[in-house]
Amino acid sequence: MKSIIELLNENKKVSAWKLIETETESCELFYVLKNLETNRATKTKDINLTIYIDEEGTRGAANVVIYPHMNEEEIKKVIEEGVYSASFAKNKFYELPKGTNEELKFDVSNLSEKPFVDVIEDIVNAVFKADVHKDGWINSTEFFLYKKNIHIRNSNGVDASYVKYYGNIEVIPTWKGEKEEVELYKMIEFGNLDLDYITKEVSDILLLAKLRSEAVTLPQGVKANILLTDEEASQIIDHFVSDLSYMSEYQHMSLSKVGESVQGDEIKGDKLNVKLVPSLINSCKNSPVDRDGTLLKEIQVIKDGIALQRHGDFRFGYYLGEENPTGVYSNMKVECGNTSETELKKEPYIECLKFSGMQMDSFSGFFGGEVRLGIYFDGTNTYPVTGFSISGNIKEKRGELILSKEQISTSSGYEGPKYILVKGMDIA
Amino acid sequence: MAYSSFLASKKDVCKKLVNKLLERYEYVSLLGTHSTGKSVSVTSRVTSISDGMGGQCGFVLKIFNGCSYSEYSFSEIEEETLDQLVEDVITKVTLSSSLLERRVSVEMMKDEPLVKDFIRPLEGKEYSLEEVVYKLSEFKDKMHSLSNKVIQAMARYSKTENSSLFISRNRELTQNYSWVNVSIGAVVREGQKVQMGHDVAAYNSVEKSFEVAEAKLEGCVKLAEELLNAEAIVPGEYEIITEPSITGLIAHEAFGHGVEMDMFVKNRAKARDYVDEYVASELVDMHDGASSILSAASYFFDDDGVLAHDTLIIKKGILQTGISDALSALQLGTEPTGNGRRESTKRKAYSRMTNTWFAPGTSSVEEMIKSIKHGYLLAQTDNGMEDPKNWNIQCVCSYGREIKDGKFTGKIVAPVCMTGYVPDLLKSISMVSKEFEVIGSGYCGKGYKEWVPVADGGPYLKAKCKLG
Repeated sequence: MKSIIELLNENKKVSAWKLIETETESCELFYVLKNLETNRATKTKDINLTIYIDEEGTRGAANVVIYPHMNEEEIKKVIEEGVYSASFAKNKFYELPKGTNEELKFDVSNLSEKPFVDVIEDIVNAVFKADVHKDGWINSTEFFLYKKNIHIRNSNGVDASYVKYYGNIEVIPTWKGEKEEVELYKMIEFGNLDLDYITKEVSDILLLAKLRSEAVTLPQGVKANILLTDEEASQIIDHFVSDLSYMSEYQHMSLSKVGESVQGDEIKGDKLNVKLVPSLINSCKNSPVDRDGTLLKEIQVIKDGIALQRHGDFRFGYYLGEENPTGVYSNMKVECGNTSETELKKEPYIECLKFSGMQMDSFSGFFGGEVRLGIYFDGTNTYPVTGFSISGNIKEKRGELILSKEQISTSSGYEGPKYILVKGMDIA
Repeated sequence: MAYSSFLASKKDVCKKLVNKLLERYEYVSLLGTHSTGKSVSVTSRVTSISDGMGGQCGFVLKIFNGCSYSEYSFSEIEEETLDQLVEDVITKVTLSSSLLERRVSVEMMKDEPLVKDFIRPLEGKEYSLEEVVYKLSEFKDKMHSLSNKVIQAMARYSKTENSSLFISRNRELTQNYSWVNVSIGAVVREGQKVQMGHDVAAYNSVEKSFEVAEAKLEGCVKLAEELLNAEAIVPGEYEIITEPSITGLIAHEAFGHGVEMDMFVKNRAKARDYVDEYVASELVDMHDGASSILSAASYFFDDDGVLAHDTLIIKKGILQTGISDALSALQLGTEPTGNGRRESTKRKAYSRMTNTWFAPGTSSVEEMIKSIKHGYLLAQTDNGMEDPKNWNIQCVCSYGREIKDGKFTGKIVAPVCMTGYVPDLLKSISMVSKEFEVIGSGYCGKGYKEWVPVADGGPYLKAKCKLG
């Protein structure tokens, strides 16, 4: 049987193509309390093909799916359908990334060292090692370990393949307080296995559940600084980074200009310094290339609050006349500020530890949401609070952000200040 | 439109696989799915066509291992390599003895005999791909022509066609059904202010989806322009009227997740302790079910091979029951309600909502507005998040229109975050409209994953809630 690439090359209507093949194996366990409810294993293959046809200075493209069971005739038919679809999706011409001889640098995860069934048992034990409290326990847990063989090729010589291992654990801790039981949600993600890290993450989230059980309703009319951390700190920075994408500019939606401040004319707070990187320690979003096969290298996009360059996928970079479009990144490194956690916590503050989901509207600049657990310092006492929401507009606050000296690394692709302090947000 | 020829061609070999595994295990079921789709997006500067986000093809086995359940997901099945596949399944689902020491103990699934094929064709005129692109381009151009503030107009179409096959010792089911979704959006800019208006039309018909979307173009652009002048709401407790999208958001996020009965198994849902008790105003009836209404989550059998239901969750304010997948029902000793759903055959089945809605009442929207002293008409779902254990509300509406002394003031606030305690909100419902709409354009996650298509909606509701 002829290969997909042979069949693509035989079809004279196909001007260019991109082929992404992903083979996935997983091992999964689902627990209710400390009892295994379901175990799962998967072995699947996904084949995504993009077909490009060029006509009169335009490039039409269509994404089609090929299934592993398909025979030669069926694949030929899918290619023909792709050609037909692409003829209705004509856009301004753009190149595809070119192949490179540069070696892909991608660290091998230690998750590859043992069979998944053995690794997952170690992880189960590491999680339940933290389940030691009388009034608090892990209600339910889901464990996932993945191995992905990813192979990206295109008709312009890109041929990048790498193996990616990662895992995630969904933990629901519960704590029995005086009034009622409360729970929280935590997704622990990792690219390398560190059993002590997993145990600590579970211990920490159990203690946050305890805090939620002790939390009281925030008094009415509170005025305090807001401290954002973890995913929400990352979301704030991501707002500025996203606005600098090639696509945002090409679609006329970007409000930022290269060479100008992304934080407004007057920056009273800390100036942002942001780099995009292919890998971060323990991030599960690491990748040496993006979905187009563009090789990812560390780049700085914001320096001292000034937009240094745009970033994003090859096509929109090409449209904007970029010589070497950067590719799409999933990890960012943010420089910390000079203010210590202690200093940040001198004035009344609410440290928002758990949101039900903070929203960030890239158009209006609105950000906020319901806080399920916060720590409130009223100037004298510090205590856990719940049942309130915060809201503000990043367009108004962007020049006043204070970044902590302390750093955190999240497994979802953020390394940067542990806290971002925002003043004057609405609290209800 | 027809049942997948691929699944039809694999039916015999799938039966052989199930039978071979039944030699070793007491219960084995196989679910095969083949969903095809087409997504077309036309924006001001880019046109895109793809096979769509609903596309998938694969199989999953569910096996009773004598105590609990094991699953194996795979992409390929061939007669020639069947023995190897059987061996792989057995090897991959077998765990170490230490992991098996602590397991839940459940009964074997009921496997009542049923052999049936279901099909639901699309209604109305079919459109060729060329016609779809043309129609979306017209929508895009129309939005630009309506305002020179439009910097980006977007029109999107997606059609999914789902086929699935369920085989166990005694059951052999197939189904085929489709759904169409057309969404429109207009981004407007005035200086540094950027806002977006959007809307959607989703039906069992390409023709109707296009017709309804076309009728909404003007409103979509007007809304985007209005939002440029939107203010932040002054936080506080207000009288509210929810339009059907927000009614659906409340049904889905605030209450629906809390009656997914896998949450009962884990003691994660407060609702478990409130069955037969008042959780809402007596004006409230709430349903969920794939057969409760024709919308995005209307199928004939679920991913456990259980036939679709119409479950009355709340009757006259009293909580009746929850919704469940087969495994949760086994653990609870209840009957499954046809709510076992998977994101794909690569993922586990959970108890999931389908079409979730509040039933209509007797008031008119006009008299509801007249009855408001000071409050807001809340419109258009932005997002929401569940909290089944503690029943806190997190529902974000795209905007609200101020009402004072029974009249709209012309002021618009955006976005609006509803917070509070779910039963407080539901018990505060004092008027329910005759007007009723279920919107079948959403996707729902469980926690932060496991996305499945859902529909929700209902009438306009008058209630009280904390807004911020």
